[in-house]
Amino acid sequence: MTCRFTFSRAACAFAAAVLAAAVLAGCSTAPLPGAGSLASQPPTLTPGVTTQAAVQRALGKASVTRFDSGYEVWVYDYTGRLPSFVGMVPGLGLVAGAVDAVTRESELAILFDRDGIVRKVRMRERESQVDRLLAPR
Amino acid sequence: MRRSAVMWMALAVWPVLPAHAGQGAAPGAEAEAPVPVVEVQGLTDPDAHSYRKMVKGMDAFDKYRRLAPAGQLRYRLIPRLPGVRAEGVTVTVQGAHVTLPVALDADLAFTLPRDAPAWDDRARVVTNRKDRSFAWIADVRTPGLPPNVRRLGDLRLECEIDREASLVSGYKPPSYLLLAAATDVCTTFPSGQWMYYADRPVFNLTLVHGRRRQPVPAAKMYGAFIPKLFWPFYDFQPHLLDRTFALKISDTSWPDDTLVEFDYMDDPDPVSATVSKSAGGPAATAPEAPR
Repeated sequence: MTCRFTFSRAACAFAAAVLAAAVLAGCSTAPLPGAGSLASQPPTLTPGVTTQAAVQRALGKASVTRFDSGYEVWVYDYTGRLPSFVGMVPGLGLVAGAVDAVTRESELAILFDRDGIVRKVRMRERESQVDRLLAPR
Repeated sequence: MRRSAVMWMALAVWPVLPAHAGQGAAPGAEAEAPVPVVEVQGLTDPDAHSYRKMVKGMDAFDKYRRLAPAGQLRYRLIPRLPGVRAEGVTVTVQGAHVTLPVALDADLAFTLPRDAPAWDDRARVVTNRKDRSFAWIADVRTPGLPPNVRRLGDLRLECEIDREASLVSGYKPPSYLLLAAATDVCTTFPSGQWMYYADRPVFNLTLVHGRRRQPVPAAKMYGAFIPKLFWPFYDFQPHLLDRTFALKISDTSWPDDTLVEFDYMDDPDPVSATVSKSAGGPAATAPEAPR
């Protein structure tokens, strides 16, 4: 980590330590839903076959939206984010901003029919701020 | 009571104003005009909207035509309650001295004539269904696109039309009225996003321009962009939730000829998907949206 401006070496070392801790904390306190299951046995989501119970066993609890039609959309957010306090630590705001700028948000969306069977699956990955700036116009 | 659509995220509780408050009057022309009595056969509280506002929406369509040079404007009614029958719906421009029948397309869309007597009569566009039976929208379509594709410029133009016509319902505090008067809410405030209804229940949306593709996240789907506290003010509740989405139309990195691909819930999708864990996190081999 390179520190400039008015940072002393001690402050720089402290900032680096906090950043490392924050990154580790971010990784350890915000596990991916069902990550353990995914690593050991990737589930197959088959439209017309896979049930809600099977999805929940494999991927854990989702954010659920229910509709009048009886259909449901389950969303798993897989975006890795730094803890919010990182941006408040003096000197780390820029680092946190840079991390945010290159982070691509991703989520898994699953559509269930009124019988609770998978109908469609989509993995959505949103471009990062840097991707957006570099996007072909 | 109909209210203009806004993507207002403030949590402060403000009184909600009717959509016609502070809008719709030609400068100095209407303030002293007597309010006519409009009689509607059979219903005391029909779903209706100001004719003048809808004409002003047509003016906005002309003014912002550059957003959709080939676009065609129709207004459209979307039944928003489960019990509302689409069959037999009629629309009439109704004033104290003017009655103009309006032809409805099969999808409950219509165009309005520019009629000076109806304007002078402060007429209303009246349906034969009870108040709040429908979501009223401006519908701009560029011909020649596939049925599951919309054009971003068309959607931007719909927002500009609704700024004048105040069709789509929503939470509209006084502070919004002040800001809306000073800025173009379609492009600048609060984040330049606008709410829309898909033609059918929609599962996935993708912005496409050239090789650039961008799925719309769950945060912009199904009313997730509005605190649930305010949902009762919006037409998408309860029946249209699965058709509701928002787009950040102020993002100029997406040009007007960007296409929005709709992956509808009831479209066939026979491909299975396997979720696996990759270095950057889980990934799924999932089918692309149908073209």
